[in-house]
Amino acid sequence: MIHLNLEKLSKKYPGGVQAVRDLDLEIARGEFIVFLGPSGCGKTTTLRMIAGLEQASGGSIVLDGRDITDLAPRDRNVSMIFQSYAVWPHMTVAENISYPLRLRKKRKDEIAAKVEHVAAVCGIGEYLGRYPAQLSGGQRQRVAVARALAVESSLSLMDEPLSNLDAKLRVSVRTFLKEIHRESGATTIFVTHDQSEAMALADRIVVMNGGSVEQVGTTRDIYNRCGSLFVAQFMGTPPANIVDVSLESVGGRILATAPGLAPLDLGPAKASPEMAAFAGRSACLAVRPEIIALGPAGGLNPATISLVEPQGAYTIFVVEVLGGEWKIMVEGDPGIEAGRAVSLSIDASRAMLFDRETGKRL
Amino acid sequence: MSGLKGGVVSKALFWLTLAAVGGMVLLPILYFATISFASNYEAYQFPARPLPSLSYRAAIRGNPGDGTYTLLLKKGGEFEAVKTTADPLDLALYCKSQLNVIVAEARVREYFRLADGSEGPAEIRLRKSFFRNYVIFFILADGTMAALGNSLKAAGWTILISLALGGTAGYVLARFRFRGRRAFGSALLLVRMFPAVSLSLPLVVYIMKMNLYDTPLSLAIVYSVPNIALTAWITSSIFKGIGVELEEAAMVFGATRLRTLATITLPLAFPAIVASSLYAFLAAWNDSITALIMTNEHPTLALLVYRTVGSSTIPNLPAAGAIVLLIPSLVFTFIIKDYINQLWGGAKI
Repeated sequence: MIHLNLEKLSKKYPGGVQAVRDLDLEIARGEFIVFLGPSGCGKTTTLRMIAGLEQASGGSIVLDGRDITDLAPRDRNVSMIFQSYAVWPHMTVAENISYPLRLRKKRKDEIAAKVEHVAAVCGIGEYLGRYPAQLSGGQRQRVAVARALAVESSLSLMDEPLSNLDAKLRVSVRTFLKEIHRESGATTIFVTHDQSEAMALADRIVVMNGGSVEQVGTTRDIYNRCGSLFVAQFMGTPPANIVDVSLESVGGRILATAPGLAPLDLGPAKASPEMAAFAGRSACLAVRPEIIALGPAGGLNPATISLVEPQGAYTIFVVEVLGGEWKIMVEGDPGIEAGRAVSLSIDASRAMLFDRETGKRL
Repeated sequence: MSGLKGGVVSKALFWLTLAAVGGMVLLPILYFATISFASNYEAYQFPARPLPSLSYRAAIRGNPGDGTYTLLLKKGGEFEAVKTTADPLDLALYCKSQLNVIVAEARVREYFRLADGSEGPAEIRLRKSFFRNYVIFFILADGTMAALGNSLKAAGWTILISLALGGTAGYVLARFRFRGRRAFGSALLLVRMFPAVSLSLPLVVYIMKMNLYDTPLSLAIVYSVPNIALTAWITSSIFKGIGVELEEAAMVFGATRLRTLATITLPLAFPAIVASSLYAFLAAWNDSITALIMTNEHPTLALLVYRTVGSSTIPNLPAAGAIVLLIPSLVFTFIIKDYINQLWGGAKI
């Protein structure tokens, strides 16, 4: 069931900058959606248009079957968590949490009970009388979450709520936010530029770039079946290695070749007509660091290891190959040192191919 | 070692500077306060007393032969004759006008009898009516209360006008991007370049047309001109410091723009508002030049003190007026000093 529907949503600033271009998106009730993209991709602008803090210059926003495109923020009944938390410094924690409820003219005892409940859920029950200045960053964050919870809105907006926290806290608050979502069941839109946050939280990720949607899908889709070259280069740490290849159709099978690269068998031409149509032309091949295996020198695809970055559970090798640098991820620590000559073998079934002009997946 | 030495030297320098500055500021005020409690007689004495006196050590002597009595006051180590008369009422009046001592005629007769009964001068103690100068300045002099009222009204109006216009200008400067914003900001400062006199002279013409001449409101209008600019600068800097997200949060959570202003923005900008009103108050309260031009029958207190200084040869009454003028400024400043500290000391918002 569709809860929020964005149709041809656009934002053009008076200066001429097109922040969001014809964005179409249907969000189901209770879904956890993450807007992911580099800064300036329009993800925050989209969120702010949904909140009513930014006037849409085109398209419509329909929430629960009601067109809210031109409504004032207060009439939309959404809750929001801001990047800076936006906890009011001149109010105590209790006053911060109860502010939306007081505006909604709720009964006093009802407000008190609600404040106590959400404060307990967020683990700030003992700080109700304190001012935000007396709290740590993480605690202030929890006040912002409690305030958003208190209004019991069916749509919860979060604008990079974790980016001001330190790395350790970020992971624990992330888990906390997911639990909150599971319990409240509110449709949630979460904006971030951090892909690990996005992958950990999202039911569906909306990857944005240059004001448009690049791809919408689950974490698995976004990571393994990238819709565009941009997504392949943006997702993954380290991101996919890209190489220009020529496609050839040989004996009913499609081969990708490049100087210095052993021909890569991408499967039968019948299985993917798009790829077959590209035979004889060049395309971009994206190879994720973990689908490459290191072999002894003298094999196919000779390369030289230039840097080793051990990470404990896995090791990242920077290798010189095909006149460029690739990153390769290997489980554990194989004990290979920099300067060694190696060979690379690529799991062709997991490599992705893109049209060089349009960036679209083949 | 050198660090310790440097610490001692810089500490000594700090205290010396503090003492010098304190002396420069506080000594004249202390001197003025003493003068404001002095009687006419004391005001003429040299050297001046560092602290005001509460009573006189005096003596009364009968002069055999002509039936007169002489009042003597102790000066240095010796008694000095100050008044010789046979009439008790005459002496009582002298005490009141020159010594700030209120003494009944009957009491003076008692002193005379005391003098008659003693060999030499009979020592007595004359208690000073301590606040007599203030009483004269406020109750006995004409129009002082009215002038105080005018000053308060002018200051109040100045605060209101400055905050209403300057505060909104400050908000606009802080929150909205528009063509010529920087020029507007600098133009505000330009207004402050004009001396009040050069503004008030041409303004008098318009004030008269508006039928506001000789009213506190007309003064407030002139005082507000430079203060609106100052208020705009002070408030815009603090409005800039209040994160836009704080206002946006209020609006998302159900507040109207007006409600956001009242419950979020203004409370957070309170230090700036208080500081601005202090400047507005002081500008209005301390001015006498503009009041000299803009008023006729309804002067402000500062103008009245100024006039008293001009009309009196003895500084004690004007001093009392000056101290009265000083008190509201001091009280106002002390009430709001915490907020000023918040503003300039940078409590993070």
